[in-house]
Amino acid sequence: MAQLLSPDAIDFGAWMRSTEVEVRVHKASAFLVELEAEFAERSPTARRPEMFSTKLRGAIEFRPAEVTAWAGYSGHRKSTFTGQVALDLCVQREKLLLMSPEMRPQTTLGRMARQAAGVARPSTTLLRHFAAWTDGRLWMFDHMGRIAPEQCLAVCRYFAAELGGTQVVIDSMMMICRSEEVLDEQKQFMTDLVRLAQETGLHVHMVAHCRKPASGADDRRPTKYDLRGSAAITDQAHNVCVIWANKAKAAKLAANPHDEEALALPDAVVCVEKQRNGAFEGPLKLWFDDASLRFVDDRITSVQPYSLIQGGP
Amino acid sequence: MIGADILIDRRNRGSVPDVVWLDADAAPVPFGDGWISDDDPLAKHAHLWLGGENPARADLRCVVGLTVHVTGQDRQTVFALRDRCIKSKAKRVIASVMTQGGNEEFPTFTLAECTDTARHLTWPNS
Repeated sequence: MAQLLSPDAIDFGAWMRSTEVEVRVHKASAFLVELEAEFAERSPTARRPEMFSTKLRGAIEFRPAEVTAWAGYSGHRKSTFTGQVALDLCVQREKLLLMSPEMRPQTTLGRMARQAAGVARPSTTLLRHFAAWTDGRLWMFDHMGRIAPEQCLAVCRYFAAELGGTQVVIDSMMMICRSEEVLDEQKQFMTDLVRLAQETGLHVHMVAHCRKPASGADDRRPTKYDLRGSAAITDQAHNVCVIWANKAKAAKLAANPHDEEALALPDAVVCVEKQRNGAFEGPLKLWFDDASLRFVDDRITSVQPYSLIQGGP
Repeated sequence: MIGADILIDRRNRGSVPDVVWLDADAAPVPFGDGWISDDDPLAKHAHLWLGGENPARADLRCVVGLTVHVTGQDRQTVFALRDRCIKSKAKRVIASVMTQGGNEEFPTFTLAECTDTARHLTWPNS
C-alpha cells in the first residue's frame, strides 16, 4: 500500500539517545503544580485508602504511586491479613487486583468472603451477594505458580491502564523472583515496581518473607532488617509493615483454653516499621477471630459483617 | 504524553507526519479521522494529548524537526507546551489559545490568541 508519510530527515534514534538524560533535568519551578498540591487543603471526600477495620486506621494510608512491603515469617498469616486490607480497600471503592500465584482464586476469595461475612461458613446467598459486590472493586489474577517479573509488571500496567486500577496486591515476592537469594533480580524487580507505581499511580502491596531466627523459634517479632533477600525491598519500598503471629499464645491456649494470662495477650502484632510519607511508625496489638479469619482491635470486639449492599458503604 | 508512542514508533521506522496536533486540554474534542496510528498507513497527521501531565516537564522530544500546532483553552498550558516544543527543536510551532462558547451539545471555539515561530499566523500582531 502507498505510504503517504514523508521520510524522516533526522536520525531520530540518535536524537532520542542523546537527549535521554537532559529531558530528566528540570528547573525546580517546573514542579510548582505538584508543590502547590502538597500544601493544598484536602477535601473531606478526598481518597484516603486505609485499613479501617483494625487499629491501622489513621496510622497508615495506601497512597497512590507507592509500594508497601508486607513482611513476616512463613505461616504468620500475612496473606490473611493482606486479604482483610484488600477487603477494606474494596469497601472504599478502590479498584484492586489480587495476584496470588500461591493460592487458587477461589481459596483467596473464600477467605475474604469469611472475613466480609464475619462467619466461618457464609451462606450461598451471602456468597452471591459478596460476588456481586466485588464487581467494579476486585479483580483476580488467574494463575498458579511462578510468574516472571516482566509478566507481573505487564499485568499491573494493564490493570492500571485498561481497568483503571488503583491498588495491586502481589502475594508474594517468592512467586515472582526465581529465588529470594537471587539478590540482583530482587533489587531490579523492586526498582521496576517502584517506577511502575510512580508511572501508573498504582499503590502496590508486596508480600515478602522474613528469615527465621537462627534458633528456629519464631517467638521474636521480626523487624524490617529481617526480610529475606535483598535489602532493596526495605530500602526502596515507601512503607514496610511486619506481621507477627503470637504462636506462643496459641501453644499456651492449646494446653489450657482458659489460661487468662494467655488470653490477655494479643494474637498478632502488626508493626509499621517504615512509612516514608506518613508520621506513624510502631507496633499495634491485634486479636484474631478464628471463625471469620478477621483481625480485630481487642479481645472483646465482636466481629461484625461488612455491609455488602451494592453501592455502599 | 498520550500518542507519543505511536509517533516515536513511526519515526523509528523512518517516516514523519506533515503536522503534529498537540492538544493541551484535559478532555480534548475529537477531531475525527486521519491521525497516524498502527493500522492506518495513509494518515498524515499525528495527535498528541497532554492528558494529566505537567506541561512544564512534558517530554516532547518526538517532535524534533516537525511542525507542531498546539491548541487548548488554558493560555498558560498552551504556551508552556509551545516552549517545550521549541526546546525540543521542533521546526515550527503554532500555538493557539481558544475560548469555548455555544452550549454543551453544540460548542463553538473562537481563536483568542495565536503565536507562530514562523510569524505568519501570529495574531493579534503586536
